[in-house]
Amino acid sequence: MWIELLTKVLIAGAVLTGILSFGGVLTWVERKQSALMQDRIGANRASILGFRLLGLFHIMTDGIKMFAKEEFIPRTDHRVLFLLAPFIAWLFSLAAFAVIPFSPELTVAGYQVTLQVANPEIGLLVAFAMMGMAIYGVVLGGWASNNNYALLGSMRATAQMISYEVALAAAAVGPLLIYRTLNMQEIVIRQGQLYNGWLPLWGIVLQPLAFLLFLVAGAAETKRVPFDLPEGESEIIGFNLEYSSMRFGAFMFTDFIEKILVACLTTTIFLGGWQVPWLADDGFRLGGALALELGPMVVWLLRLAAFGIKVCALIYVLMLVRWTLPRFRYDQLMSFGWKFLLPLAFLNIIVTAAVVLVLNL
Amino acid sequence: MAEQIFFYFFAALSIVSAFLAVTRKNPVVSVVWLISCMFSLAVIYVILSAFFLAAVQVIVYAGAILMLFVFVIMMLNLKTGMVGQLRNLGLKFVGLIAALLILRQFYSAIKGAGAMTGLPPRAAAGFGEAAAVGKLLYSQYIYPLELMAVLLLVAIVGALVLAGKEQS
Repeated sequence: MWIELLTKVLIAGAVLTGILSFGGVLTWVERKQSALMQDRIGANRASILGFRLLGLFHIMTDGIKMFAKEEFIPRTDHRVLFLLAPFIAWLFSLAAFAVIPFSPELTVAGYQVTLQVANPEIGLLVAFAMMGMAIYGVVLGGWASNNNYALLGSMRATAQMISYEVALAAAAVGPLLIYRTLNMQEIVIRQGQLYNGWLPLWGIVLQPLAFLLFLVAGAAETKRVPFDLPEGESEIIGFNLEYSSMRFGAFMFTDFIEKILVACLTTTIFLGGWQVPWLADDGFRLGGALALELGPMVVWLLRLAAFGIKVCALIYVLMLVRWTLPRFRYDQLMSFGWKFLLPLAFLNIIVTAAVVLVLNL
Repeated sequence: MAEQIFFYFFAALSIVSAFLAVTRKNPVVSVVWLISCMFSLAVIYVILSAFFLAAVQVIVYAGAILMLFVFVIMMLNLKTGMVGQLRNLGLKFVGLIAALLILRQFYSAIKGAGAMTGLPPRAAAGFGEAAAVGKLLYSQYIYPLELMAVLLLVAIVGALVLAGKEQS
């Protein structure tokens, strides 16, 4: 029992450290990529002993800056809620990563090891539940700030996030009807089949519409451009108006964590998770004589890397969108979510259900 | 062992939260305690192997419905002490009857449970998962489910009628 507990704690620690570090790197990637798209050089000033390393030290300086700045706490009746709010958002966003299957199972010295903290039967629902709870950080933060602008900003943010949460969940139902499971590992395993021996039957192949809907709703859920009304740093006053120092940093960092979360969920449901095309448990099988034998450890590492590459690619696409499109107006945002995304998602569910029923998949 | 620690912690938390939800003066603070109560109940469902119910409890109650509570309270801009003052004598009477009925229900539930020692036995594999709950809902309880669907539809239509009234 103690060994199991210890491995669980170690895995959880590894996932937590990995996500937090990746989130930190993303703050740098975001700056560099926006610079690239706007024909600038981007962050490159921070240096240690003259080494600039493409501006990578800006991650550290940002952290130090956030912690070192004076924290201003407004006069409010609800100081505890004000102080707690960023960490509610932070905690629940991170908790959702518990069910993400970063890798398949690997048997090491008789123990089943997998880079997944928990693998409940209702895995995907747990992720959605945690995402839903994370919204409270935004609502309560804006309300406890005792500032009308922050309150309005938080109501705008909440309305957007609960609206797009519905579309997000509805978009995921289509693929779930095909996989017939909510278990995250099982979802990935179901995507390991090949059509005609060459086309990997990933969710994106079976459910292209659901993939687009999920990605768009996911971008809105994480408050990304073109859906960044809740924050709109320089133009609109957002829910985080009264926050300063590391509490502001926590809100901002939560965004990066949620972006990784949406990319992980999309990868798991639509991009085959850790599946590598044509890679079976014992090596590559390209049909006929084309085969490459590989040991289980190599296969496991390849699959773990595949998950990472897919997540990075998705995040890069989301960033490209961010620096390409202008922002939605609030009424456009709402009608887009409720009158376009949601009906399409429902249509997708009905058509998928009918097809699954007729073909008896 | 771990289950017992979790059970006692979250059972206590749910009761304390429920109590605070009723006694707090500020409506938003009340709802925050109610969220905490609903979340603790979901953990207790997990301990009782009702996994699907636990997930739905968090998504629907803690996530969606209470979010709407918070939203409506903020919309209406309710200030401290504006709710919870029942001046109407008739309403007070109805409340008293409801409270007595709930007490009666508690009494019979506790009496019917008998002496419990330790945790109940483990549920069978698959119990409380999405598939098992779905099969029950769409076979044995299909009529109540459909009735509930009609009720929700009526509520949605009603909401649309109320919302559309002022514009036209």
